[in-house]
Amino acid sequence: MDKWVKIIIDSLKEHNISVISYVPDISIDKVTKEIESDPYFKVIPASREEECIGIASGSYVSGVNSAIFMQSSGFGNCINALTSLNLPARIPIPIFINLRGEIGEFNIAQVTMGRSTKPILDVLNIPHVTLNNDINLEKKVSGNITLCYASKIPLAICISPLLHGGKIA
Amino acid sequence: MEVKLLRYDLMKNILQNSENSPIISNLGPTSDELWHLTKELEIHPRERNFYTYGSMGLCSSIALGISINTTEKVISIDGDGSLLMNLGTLSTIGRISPANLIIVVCDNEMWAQTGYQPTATAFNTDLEKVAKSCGFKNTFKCTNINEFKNTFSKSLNLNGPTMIVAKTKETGEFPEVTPVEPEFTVYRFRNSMMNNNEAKL
Repeated sequence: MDKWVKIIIDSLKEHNISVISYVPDISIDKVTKEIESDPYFKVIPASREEECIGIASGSYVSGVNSAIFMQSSGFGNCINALTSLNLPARIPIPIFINLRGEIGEFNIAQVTMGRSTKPILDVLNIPHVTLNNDINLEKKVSGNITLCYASKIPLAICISPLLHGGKIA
Repeated sequence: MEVKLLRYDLMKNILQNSENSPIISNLGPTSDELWHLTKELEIHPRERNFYTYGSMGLCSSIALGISINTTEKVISIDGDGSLLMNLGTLSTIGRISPANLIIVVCDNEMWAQTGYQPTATAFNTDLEKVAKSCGFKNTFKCTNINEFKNTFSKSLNLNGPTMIVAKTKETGEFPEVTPVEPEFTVYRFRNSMMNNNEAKL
């Protein structure tokens, strides 16, 4: 598997994150495909990204850390869940978001939400980091997950085409 | 078919028969009534009550996330307005098929607290059939308290996931709004689920 994929999976295990909920994306698939064949993880593909927020939050409050994978378009489907559940109840969830609307984007429908994801996270005071290359990647992923649990709110780990270099879909 | 079932009575029966099972309640009067009932039955705070105050639609999704981490029965007390916002969760539940998950939908066929506007279940949507078509192992419909008591008791011993659609009616009054304590809810609930007795509030 690609180095960045392995680093993410190792970080999840390092932080005892064994429940993963996601809605697919072709680049995130490089990670979720490995996760699905790894017996360490319980994987719940959901019908909508907002549902992932509920599932991951339920897992956390029952004692098992959980992370979410989604595309930036899906982030747009999550806002009220994050603001009315995770923030007031203080439920930390690492959320991996593949950013659309970046270099090479061909689909106008993806542009605004992709480019608005980080400004919206800023407005909501939800911390985020963007992974553009594999420099210090282990520290960035693992260190931000640690920060997530210390803050007791969600934290977005955004990945861009510069990291995964994959096909955009 | 006269509807005689009150959400309050239904939840009282659930609380009296659920032992230490996690109960997740929908926002609004459902969580308010559950809180008042817990006081009335002198079991307050019930650490395994997961009250929700927002994120409408996610009650049963949260319950799904809880159900995969325990072997105990997990009970979601949802509403029709809430569930209709997130019908996809029924298909996810049907896919993952946790045997310990019971979804009780208090179906009053309306959004009550916002002015009693009718929802789609007042027209053509039959949530029991939706659940069945999503792969729920057991589905039931109840319209009176005795029917509910028998169904719920039976459900505690069935391999689910189980859906109970309880046709409820509103009384025209809402209970006093309870303290909104999402962070305490999580703290108590999570420590209870992790058997952490030292961190009791």
